[in-house]
Amino acid sequence: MAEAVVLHPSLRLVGRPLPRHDARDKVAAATAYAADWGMPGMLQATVLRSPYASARIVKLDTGRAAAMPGVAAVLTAKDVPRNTLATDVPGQTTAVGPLRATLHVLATERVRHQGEPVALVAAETLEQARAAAEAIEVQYEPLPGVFDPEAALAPGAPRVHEAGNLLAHWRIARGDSAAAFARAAVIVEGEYTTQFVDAAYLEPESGVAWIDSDGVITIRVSTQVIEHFRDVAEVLQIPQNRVRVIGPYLGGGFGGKEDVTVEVYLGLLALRTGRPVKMVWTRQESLLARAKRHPYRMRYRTGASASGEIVAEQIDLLADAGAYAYLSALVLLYSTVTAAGPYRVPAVEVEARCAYTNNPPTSAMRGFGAMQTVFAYESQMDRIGRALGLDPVEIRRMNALRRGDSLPVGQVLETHVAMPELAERVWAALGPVRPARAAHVKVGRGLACNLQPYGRIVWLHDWSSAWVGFEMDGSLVVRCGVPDVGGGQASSLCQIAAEVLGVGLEQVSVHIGDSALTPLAGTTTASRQLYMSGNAVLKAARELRAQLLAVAAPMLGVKDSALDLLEGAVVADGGRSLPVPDVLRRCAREGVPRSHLAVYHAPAGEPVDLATGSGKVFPDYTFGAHAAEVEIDMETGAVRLVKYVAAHDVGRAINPQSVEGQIQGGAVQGLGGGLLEEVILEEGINLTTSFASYLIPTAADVPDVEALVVESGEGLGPFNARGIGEPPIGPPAAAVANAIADATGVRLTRLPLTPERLARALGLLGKAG
Amino acid sequence: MSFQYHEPVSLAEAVDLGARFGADGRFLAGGTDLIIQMRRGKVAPRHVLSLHRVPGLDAIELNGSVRLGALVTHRAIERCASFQGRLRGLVEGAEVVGGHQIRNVGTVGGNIINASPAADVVPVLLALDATITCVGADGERTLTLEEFLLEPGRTARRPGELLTAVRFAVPQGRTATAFLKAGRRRAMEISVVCVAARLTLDATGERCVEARIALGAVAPTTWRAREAERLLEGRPLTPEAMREAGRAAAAGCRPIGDVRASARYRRLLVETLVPRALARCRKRFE
Ligand SMILES: Cc1cc2nc3c(=O)[nH]c(=O)nc-3n(C[C@H](O)[C@H](O)[C@H](O)COP(=O)(O)OP(=O)(O)OC[C@H]3O[C@@H](n4cnc5c(N)ncnc54)[C@H](O)[C@@H]3O)c2cc1C
Repeated sequence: MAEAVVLHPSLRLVGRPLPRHDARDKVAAATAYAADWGMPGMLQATVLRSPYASARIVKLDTGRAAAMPGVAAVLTAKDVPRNTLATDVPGQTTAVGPLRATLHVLATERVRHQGEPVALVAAETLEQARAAAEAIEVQYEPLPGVFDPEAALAPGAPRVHEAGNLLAHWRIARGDSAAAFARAAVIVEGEYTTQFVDAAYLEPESGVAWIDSDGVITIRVSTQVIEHFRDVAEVLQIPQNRVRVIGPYLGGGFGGKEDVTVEVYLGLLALRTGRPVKMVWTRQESLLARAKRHPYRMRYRTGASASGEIVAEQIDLLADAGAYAYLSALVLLYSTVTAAGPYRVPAVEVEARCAYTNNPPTSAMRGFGAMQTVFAYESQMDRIGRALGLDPVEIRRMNALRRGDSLPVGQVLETHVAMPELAERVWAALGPVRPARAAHVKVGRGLACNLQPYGRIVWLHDWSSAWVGFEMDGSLVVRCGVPDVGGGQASSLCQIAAEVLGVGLEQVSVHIGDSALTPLAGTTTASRQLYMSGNAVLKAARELRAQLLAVAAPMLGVKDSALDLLEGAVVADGGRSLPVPDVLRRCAREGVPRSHLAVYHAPAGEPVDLATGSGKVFPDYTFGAHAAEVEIDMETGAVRLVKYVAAHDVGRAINPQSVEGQIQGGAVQGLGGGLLEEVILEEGINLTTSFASYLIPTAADVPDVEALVVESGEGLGPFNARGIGEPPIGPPAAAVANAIADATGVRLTRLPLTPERLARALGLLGKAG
Repeated sequence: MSFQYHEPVSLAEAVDLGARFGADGRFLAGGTDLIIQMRRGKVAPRHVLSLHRVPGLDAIELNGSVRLGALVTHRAIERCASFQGRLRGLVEGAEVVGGHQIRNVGTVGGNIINASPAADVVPVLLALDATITCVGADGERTLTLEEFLLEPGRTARRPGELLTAVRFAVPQGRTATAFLKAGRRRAMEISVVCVAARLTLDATGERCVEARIALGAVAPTTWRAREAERLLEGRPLTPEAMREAGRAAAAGCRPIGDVRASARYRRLLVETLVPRALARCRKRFE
């Protein structure tokens, strides 16, 4: 019934660049982030971390620390009711040992990476907590470690975990690639390397936990996943309904707050002490120990016909999973599925492996494995185009996927594929070529396209729920358990509800991110939240609208199909109307609910056999194209970005301002990873634990990003929207690498694209090496 | 981190307190180096002596020579109209320090005493043959900036001594200055290499009569490229002469390799940026 409701033909709110309700508070520093919370009698907590990348703990004595002034608790692994947390990784194709990816809450006999948590301290003041942490006696016996995935898979390598260093292995084989390569007119081979990257959010990991008056352990924490209340319960070995997670607005997540951070530690300490406890990681701590983006070594062999059609591709991916599994196997699956890019490739072989090392753990980060591959496949595309004398748009146009085509994994694309028009548009938007400003400067342009899944893997049976209801005065309430990471997640939900129910945005209140009080909405990851929770809110709002109109119809003496909701009134043809509060009072009298709780289930499916299979892995994909113009200092290798344009088909922009924000922010973050950012490790020891050495771009380093918001009107989200959270981070590194190649004739294959690497490639540093 | 905080209200009181606490005390100017070092536990002064209520330390005086009070901020140098001509290089050094917030509070005195080999304003002052004045228990003394800088993080300042001013002659005649910085980022960035140059030409505008080239981040202290200077002095300022100076500077410097750049790349930057800084000076004569 709800689906039959026809919306007002011209949308009033959806599609408008409306200022978000949370923006002003943030600018005015009125938003209470996780670390802004305080409670009477609150303890301060800190984590003692391993200074070694690989060592045995031979002695761990907390006696002296526990006796220090102000100390309320010192915990080690033996104090943790259940010290291992497991994540299921379903749908594996190759048996590589137990796939319940485990991680330890606190180290037991061994530490496997620098910064691994060994003990927790809670004390009256932070200074006391830190002093006590330093007073914990730990004796380590350093063990040999392995710091590179290739070395980790070599015979005889030190084992990071007992079961061996191969964590996951995915394989796709489609078509007869040997035969196809034999027919190819050109074959381009390349090896590409990406680096460890940090999420580098403004807001470090932080939270406060307390035992509420009802005995429920309540944790107010900066997280993308409030449903980690279940993990807290598991570690504490208490029922899941005795833990509540409240997720306030975040100062950025980017995947770094998808795994648990402080919540488990806070739960342990609150339970032990019975007092409120606060934990805020320092920037150094965050840079040292938090999960990073996986470095990849990617070997590509691509064959094309003389006219430029790609005929075959062989891809070998190897990722560094760091010391613990976290989400590595899933990240690798995303890489495997997207490895050939948004192109038709009839014969493909993909081998993808990730291996444990004694480096920091790697896990989710914006782009989630579909990002590293862009650097490889778009560099390959450019080289083939160059080899055949085809311009960057032409080679992509010839090979672009269309609706009805299938990806190497066999998934058929069912919605519009905005290729190649996105490529054409960004390339044109660069405008006329500017002349070089000096004799030592060369100008170049590069193009890169990508595809990024939105929504979770179909065999994970994703769902989201939302509650929408009217108050008696006609104001509207939305309840939905989304964490808002700063992308305007909550605000877009208001816009959707207000659109369907005919009220202004200022009449909507939204309650988000509370595992006890808001309907669960799943994770704010995988570019899924607008898609999933937007659909849940849309469904709830449509049902509520139907409920209301059914009551109003007899009051106005017309059929409900003849009614509309506009500006707080039910209106009939001919201008007759009833204020919504009048209808609500009638609902109350008749026992008709003035709210609706809806659950949206994403299209589900069974795990596919990647190797042979043809099947659906993700609900759908978002496509994009970016173009960059750079100036190269041919005497120093310095790269200056002059112009940057980014286009994505978002299906429908619910709030174009938020969409532009995602495109611009994603592009800048991608440029940071392309040009500047790198976690530098020496035998597992992190040399970049401050923002003076881990360099993220400043406002002076990037030109304005021109965002082209393309709306095909096709997508699986509300009003046909597609996910846009992750896609824009994919293309920048490749676009810049291609622009550098255009300017200089030199191709860089290792990220980040530093001036020194370019200088070396240009031969300015003498012999190569 | 616990310490006693003092706010002397006169120069005499500041010098007094400095003398009293000696190595246990630290003067606080903008705090953009000191506070970070204290938080990281690199220094742990028991007494912090703020200079903000000491009158006159933030003055810029020009009469024949330039006197920069130790508390003059990078922002004040950037904004000083008298520096836009022959002292343009000084402005160029100051305007790339950190970001706006850092320049609003960071001082020239702090930049000198912190003695980072990568400091941005120090090379320009070195190229201007600056002297510094310190006041301590034994009274006032004046040293050349070059002899004052000893090694990374260390100057010839005696414990408790207060740096009061930097002084240099106002450049005359056909003189120009320039400063260039190479870094990975365009703001909030420690120099990978920086170069300051001062050139004076003879009356005909042909021949170089005096040259100064000072480099940051290529040696344990900010470093004068004397060999390169000698190659220029007394010769016409041709592109070839400037390139030769660059090569000489690159050969003579002693850079390190670290996470920001290798030693080899730093030499390449020296070889490239020295002639560019000289060319910038020459352009300023036109
Ligand atoms: C984010 C950031 C970016 C930066 N970027 C740059 C950059 O690009 N280029 C650059 O050169 N520097 C940079 N710096 C370093 C710093 O800002 C400069 O060196 C600045 O000039 C220091 O001045 P201050 O007044 O803040 O010194 P403070 O931190 O107050 O003092 C530094 C040291 O000098 C001593 N001191 C200060 N004044 C006196 C005095 N009058 N007599 C005796 N001792 C004194 C202090 O005791 C302390 O030991 C940066 C710093 C930060 C935090």
